Amino acid sequence: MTDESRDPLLKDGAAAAPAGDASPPIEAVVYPGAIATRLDHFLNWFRKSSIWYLLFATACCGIELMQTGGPRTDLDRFGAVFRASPRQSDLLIVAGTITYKMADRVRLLWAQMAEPRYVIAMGSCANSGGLFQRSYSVVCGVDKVVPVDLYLPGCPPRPEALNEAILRLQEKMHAERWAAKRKGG
Amino acid sequence: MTPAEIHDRLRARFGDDVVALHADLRDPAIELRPERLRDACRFLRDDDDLRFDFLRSVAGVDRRDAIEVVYHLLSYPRRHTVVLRTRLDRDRPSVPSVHDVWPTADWHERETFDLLGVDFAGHPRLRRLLLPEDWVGHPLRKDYERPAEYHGIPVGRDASPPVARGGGGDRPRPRPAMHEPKAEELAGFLRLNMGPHHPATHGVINFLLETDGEILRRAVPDVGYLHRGIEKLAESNAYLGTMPYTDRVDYLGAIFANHAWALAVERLLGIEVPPRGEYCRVIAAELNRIASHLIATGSLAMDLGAFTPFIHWIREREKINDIMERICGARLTYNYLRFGGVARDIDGETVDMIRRWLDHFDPIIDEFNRLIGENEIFVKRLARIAVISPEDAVAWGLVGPNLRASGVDWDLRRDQPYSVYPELEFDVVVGRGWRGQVGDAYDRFWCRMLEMRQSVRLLRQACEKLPPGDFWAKPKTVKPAANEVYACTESARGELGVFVISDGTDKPYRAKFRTGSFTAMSIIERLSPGLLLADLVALIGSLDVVAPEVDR
Amino acid sequence: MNVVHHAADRCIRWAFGVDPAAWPWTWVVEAAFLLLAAAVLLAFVALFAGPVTWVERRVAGRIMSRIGPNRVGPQGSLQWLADGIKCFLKEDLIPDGADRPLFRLAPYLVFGGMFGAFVVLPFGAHLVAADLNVGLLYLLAVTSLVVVGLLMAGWSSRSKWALFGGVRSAAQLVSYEVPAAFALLAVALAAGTLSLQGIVGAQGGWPWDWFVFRNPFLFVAFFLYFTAAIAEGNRTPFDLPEAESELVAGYNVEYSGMRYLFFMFAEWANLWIMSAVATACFLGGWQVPGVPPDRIAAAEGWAFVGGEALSFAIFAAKASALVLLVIQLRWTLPRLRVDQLMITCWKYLVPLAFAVVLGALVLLALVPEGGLADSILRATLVIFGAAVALLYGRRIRQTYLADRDLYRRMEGKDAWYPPYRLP
Repeated sequence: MTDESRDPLLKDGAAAAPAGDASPPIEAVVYPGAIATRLDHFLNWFRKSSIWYLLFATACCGIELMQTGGPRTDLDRFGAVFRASPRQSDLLIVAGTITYKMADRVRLLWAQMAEPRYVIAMGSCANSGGLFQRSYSVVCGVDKVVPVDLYLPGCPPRPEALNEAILRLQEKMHAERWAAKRKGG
Repeated sequence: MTPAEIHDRLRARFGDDVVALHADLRDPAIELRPERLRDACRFLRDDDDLRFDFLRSVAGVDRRDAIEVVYHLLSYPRRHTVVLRTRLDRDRPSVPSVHDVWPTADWHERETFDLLGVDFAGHPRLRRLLLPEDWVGHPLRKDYERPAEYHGIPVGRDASPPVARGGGGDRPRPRPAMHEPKAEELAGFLRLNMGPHHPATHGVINFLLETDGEILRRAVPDVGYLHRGIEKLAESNAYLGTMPYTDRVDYLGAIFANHAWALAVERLLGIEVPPRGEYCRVIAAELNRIASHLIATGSLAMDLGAFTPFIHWIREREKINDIMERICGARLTYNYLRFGGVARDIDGETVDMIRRWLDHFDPIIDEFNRLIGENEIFVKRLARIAVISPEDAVAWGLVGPNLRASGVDWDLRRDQPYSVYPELEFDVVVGRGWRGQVGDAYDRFWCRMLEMRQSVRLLRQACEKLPPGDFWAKPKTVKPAANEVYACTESARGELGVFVISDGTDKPYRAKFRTGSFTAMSIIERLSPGLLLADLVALIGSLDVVAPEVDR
Repeated sequence: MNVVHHAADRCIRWAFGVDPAAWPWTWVVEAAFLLLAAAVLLAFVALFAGPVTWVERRVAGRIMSRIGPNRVGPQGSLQWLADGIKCFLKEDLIPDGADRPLFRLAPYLVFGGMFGAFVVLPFGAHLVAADLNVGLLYLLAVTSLVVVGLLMAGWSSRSKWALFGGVRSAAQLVSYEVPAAFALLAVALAAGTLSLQGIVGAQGGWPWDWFVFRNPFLFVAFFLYFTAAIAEGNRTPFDLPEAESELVAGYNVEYSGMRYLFFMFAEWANLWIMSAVATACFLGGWQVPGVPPDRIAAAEGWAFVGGEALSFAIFAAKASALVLLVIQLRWTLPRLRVDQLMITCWKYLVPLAFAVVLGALVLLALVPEGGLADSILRATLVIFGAAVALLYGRRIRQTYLADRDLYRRMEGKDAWYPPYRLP
């Protein structure tokens, strides 16, 4: 699924190569991290199979978020359930417009989440202010307030699109390196 | 009574304080001196022939040389309307508050103060409503400039790079101001913040609670977390360009907002809609009403702990979404209506689909009632909770199912008819205290269930009577002459009204949206003392409040 | 006979060849076996609590016309493992200003209170970790530790919402212990002993030997205990302490990761305890129909093992049926408000509990066991119970057939397991 150019292991290995060594042999790059990679894959499988998202809906995208949890596009199939408390959630789906009055709260919610945490900006308003960019009270994109992992376009995005976003997030989680970074880098 | 007669009556009573009657407007307005406004309003409310008991909307307008406040009034017993105006000095606009005449004016005036800076003398708590407390400036003024930044976040597009992953913690951020009411001493009482992120507040609404254990002393709604400045944006868009924004005024009842906007502009332009277009509008509107009530009743059930009915309703709503997608291409924000008709036709296949779905949906309502609607625990949670008397409902400006559940027999589709509703048969559902008292939370819930059945009935008739012909009489240009109009539709949450001032250009001068949830929110503070926390949740759910209607 | 003791005895004789009663190191081996028993119980709890979340989510999905987890492992059966390991990998958060020692301690208290009850549960004919002769009393007492834990969690989180949840749960749990205890008291009267193995032994394998059908008051006691136990376990319709839509997760609003998992673990464990105690006290426990307990005790070698396994299977089947019932109730009913909860307990259930105990006592004294009156009573109740069960089954069958027809109509295909109401 992930193509070679995106394989972070090779990138990490290349970065860790000693200076002055133009092209280290592949074994020197791959081998020390192999077990750590397997461990990472193993752990990441658990983490991506159980994404608990925070029930945070501001505007219209919130309704599509609820529809995505509904019977037709059932996010529970992937193990993604909604939690009411930010402490217990891994994923913050910012569904809807963020106003200046709300921005501090979003930041607080994000800060209350336990690491590792992810943010999906769902819908045009969360991506960039959307339809309300020229308004005086709308933050042009939630990425000005919290770091965003995935941008999901749409106004509102269809449930299938949100589903795809969760799958892409799973791919991203799968490619994360914890153990390998510590060992190889 | 006609506006002219009302004007004569006022003139007889108040003489020269009644400045003028602007009879050339589409909705003739009576201009008054600001000092006598409150007395005039009291007279309008109490006089036996006038009996204006419902303050529909208070709109502030920046006329560049003065600030005007426009009051729209309606009389339920006498069934007439009137528009009042006062002109205020632009530098220090001040007008007596009418909150003691109509309690609903409380929030309307706070909003006008917030967005225009008008001082309402005698208002008990004139504070900002929609914008944060420390916001500078009044946005709806024509000379308003956006600030450069707010609390460290730059205002405007591309003004700053996104927060880096893992690096966001380094950027200095002020500690978020947890909203504390500047209240008197609360000895022994618990002060809580419910929201803005809370599963039971339908959207981002904050409640400041003062509780004595489980029993509430007071619950003050703190709104504005979704204030997106739609009214200001409408002033810089062409008329048709505001149509998608009306979708977002009430995302659950997008067609109604579209309809109100279309009605207003069509009245300004003086154009008619062909019959097929009207029937298409009614079909879309009633489908939308059912979809909205599904979410309303489902989320009420979810707030009370039953998740399954909500998911069942989401399942049914998917089918409505399919139909709406066939009709107008979108699942939620339809943007379907145009001035003079609708954007796309409803073809025969879609009508068949609607008919099949109606046959499927009718028994499902019974199943829902067996599961939750008539469930003893559910009834006990809602019966006799938060009873709203008819006088209170009218005085506080409740509309729609909330108003009807309190026993007031008023439905815009029958009493101020628009579109082709006069040709269709339906019953208006009025609260009867089915399981408790008239006007309790269960009545409001049951009204919505029965209204869904009425919508099914309307849909069947509309599908049958759909006439052939053109569905969109497109106007050549949308540049209405200078005029003012107020148009309203019966949305799922009640009267959704639009007050538009045109100035001869292709952009409106002022657009004000009057929504049902706004006033429903304002009554919560009055009803809250003595309620349990769980009852507050039931109350909010039964009032069917959606955040964008409150904040716009 | 205490299986742990017995096993330790035989091990000492076999390994060391000495008489356990005289040997000074007997206690060491016994302690080792006790630890082993605890480990086995812990493993059982873990292997129950995990998969039952998967079962719950699939059942909930079916009730809600959804699918539920089906990607993580075959048919989603490893979902619980993913949830657990993910929680394990989360950051250890303690809110600023929270009472750190109490915050850390609360989950263990809750879990300890729940787990302590597993010691006396009769899993099979001789499968009980410690057959205390005050088993019922011990059970009720140790599960009260949960109240302390929940209050601690609510208070130490330094969040007003958590405090609400903690106080509500304390009130609820303490109140509902009264009707539960009284219902179990009626059972103890009927059995003549507080020991759970004794209570199971006083019943028989066939339904008419179960206590639930013994006399009408015990029939009512079963439902009384079941309701009170659901309230003890914080399940809907009594799940106020963690009312998601009101209190934003109630007492565990500030808990994350592993600590949160402990709370949930305890809740699922309690589900099993509730069902197991109801089974043991009312539904005949592990008694195999047609096989008297002394036959199992007298068997040797593989027959003994087979007998124990059969009794465990029967017990597990009955308890699982009750667990499924509780899950169904959760996804169907709304929740009661806190004052309604209290009113239900103190104004309705407690007087009913008194009546049940008195009535059961009177009937037990007046109606001799084995007589004609006794048989008539039992037969009537068995028929009534069978009728209720049949109605339930008929309803399920009706719904199944309706779904199958609908699926055939809409899809044109036949499916023996039709998805409920295609979305």
